[in-house]
Parts: sequence; structure tokens; C-alpha cells
Amino acid sequence: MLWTFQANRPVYLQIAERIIADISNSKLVSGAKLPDFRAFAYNIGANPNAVAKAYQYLVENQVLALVSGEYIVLESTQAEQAEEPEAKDVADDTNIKQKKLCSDFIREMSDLGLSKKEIVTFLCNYMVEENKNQNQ
Amino acid sequence: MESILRCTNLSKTYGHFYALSSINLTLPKGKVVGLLGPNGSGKTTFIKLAAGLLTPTDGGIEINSMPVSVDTKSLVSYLPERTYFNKNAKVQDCLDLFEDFYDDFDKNKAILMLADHRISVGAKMKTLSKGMQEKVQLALVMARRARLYLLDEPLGGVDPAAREYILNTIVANINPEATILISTHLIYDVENVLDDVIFLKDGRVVLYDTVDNIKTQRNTSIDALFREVFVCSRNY
Repeated sequence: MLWTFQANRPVYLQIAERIIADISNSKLVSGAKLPDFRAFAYNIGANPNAVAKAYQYLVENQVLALVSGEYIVLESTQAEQAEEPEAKDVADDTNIKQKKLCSDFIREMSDLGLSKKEIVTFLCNYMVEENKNQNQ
Repeated sequence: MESILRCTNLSKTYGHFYALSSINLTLPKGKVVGLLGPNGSGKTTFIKLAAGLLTPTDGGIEINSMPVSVDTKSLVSYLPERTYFNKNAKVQDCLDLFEDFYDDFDKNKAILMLADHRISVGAKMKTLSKGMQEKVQLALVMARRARLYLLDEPLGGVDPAAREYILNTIVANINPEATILISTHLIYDVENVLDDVIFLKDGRVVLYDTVDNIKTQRNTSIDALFREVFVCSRNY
């Protein structure tokens, strides 16, 4: 599937963010190998240099590790490591997760060609229908 | 970083008109570079100088540390603004011509790309639309294993749906040894595949930077920056 990118931000950052999102929603699990950057670039329709830069960026941020020429998802991301020992406000973390889920949802729906208004309408209709189904 | 193209004080005049004046530029290997500028800013002149079709009035231009010559032509795959094939030739004849002409031509790759565009090798060039003819030309040019691809307006006559495919074929071809220089007005379509951009204005380089730097520092798209730099005002 070809990815679409926003024009006002570096492409490598947007690729890195999607990889992080895939890790946080468990599409990518720890220990998983990422495809060769050239193959990955071909699949998403991006410049291989941008994918290479995204991988590099994720290594620098300890999300990925470069192990004998392959990029591997690390067990826990830096963000999680920072949260655990301090046992920070749980509500705060949940809030971050909710925001993240929402932004991913909006982005993916936008990729399908829906406007913001259409996304809201769709979500409302969907929830109404689901309510009906549960009540039956 | 190693360079593939270097020009020093490069100038080209047509009569008294400076199409390019004192350009100093080094293109690194392994990049996709956008050559952007309004009409008449010198983009095609620059590409033709690099392709060896024009000779500089002043200064020099080197490909892979060799002055542009017959020898550098084997390293350069050039897509002109207009297709040059005989209108009565079949697509197959064009494939044969390229195979005969260029040692680095991968005929099978070209055939696969043509098939993706649903272009039959048996078709005569004159029966194809302008956009289809451009796709044939581009497939041939990109099927060479060149070190420098010079693409002069590769998307001009192509519909938006096919542009995405074409850009993908273009970027899929880049390797650490090959650089691709694309001149275009369709900045919005290409900016997400570019590594670097060159802005040309009245024959001079007014900006040469990486796309990531521009987007990070200015928080804007290249398309928006282009419109800002080359704003047209109304005088009537």
C-alpha cells in the first residue's frame, strides 16, 4: 500500500512515526525484523533515502536496534522505560494513548479520502449502529 | 560525500542573453534532486549542458570527474522535454534502438514497465497519445543502468494517477551510485520523493538545500516556498 505524506514535514519523520504507531498498536512486536529499507521504500512508494533516514532516526531514539545488518524492534521503547520506574500518573498516560489512537484513526481515515466532517459523521453513525446491534 | 556532477562558474549565453550565469554546483551521488524554477529560468539549458547537447559559453561541467564529452554520455540517461522517436516506428523499434545504442539498457525491465502502463510493444508511436509516448520514453530512459538520470519535465503530459506510478519507478531506481535530477513545475507531486532541491531564478541558483532542512526550518512545503520565492504580481 502506498503511503501519503504531509507536504510540510520531513518524510523520514512521518515514516518513523508510523513505525512507532505500528509498535504501539502491536502490528510490530518486539524482536520483529523490519524489511530491507529499499524493499520497504518500494512498498510504500517513498524514497529509499527517507526510509534509511527513518530507520537511523529510530535507532538513535532506541526504538530499533541494528543487529548484524538488520533492523530489529527493541523490547521496550524509551518512552515506556521512562514511564515504568516513576509510575507516573496513570490517567496522564491513558490520555496520551487516547490522543495517539485518535490521531492515528483520523490520519488513516483521511488517507481513505474522508474529510474531517465526514470522519465525525461516520464515527457517530457507526456508534449509533453498534449500540443498536448490542441492544438487540 | 562523493559527487556525480560538478559545475564551476558555468555560464551559457544565447546572443546577449544569459540563460545561466556563473553556476557553481555539486550534486552528490545517490540522491533525488529537484531542479525547480519558473519558465525561462534556465532548467532545460542546465540539463542540456549536463547531457552534452550544448557547450558552455564559460566555465565547466564535469560528470563523475570527467568533463562532459562523448564518454560521459554513457553514464547519463537523458529524458528530453519532447520525445524524439520516429512517429512511424513501433514501440518495439524504439526498444531495439535503445538496446543497440546503450550497453547499460535492460530491455526486460523496459518491457515490464511498458506492460504496467498497458502499452503494447507492437503499437506504432503515432497511434499513442502524447502522455503514452512520454511514458514509452520514460520507461526506456529509466531502464538504463546509468549513473546520472536527467529528467526534463517527466510528468508534464501524464495524468495524475500515472504520476504516482512514474515517481515510484523513478525513486525505485536510485542506488548509492545513481543520482536523479528532475526538472518540473509539478512540485506538489514530486516534493515527497526529493532529497534535495535547487531553485533557479534568471539563470542563477537562489537556493540549494535538502528538503528535510527546508521543511524543518521553515515548517512549510516546497510547493509553498516556491510560490513565495517566485511570486507573480499583477501589473496591468
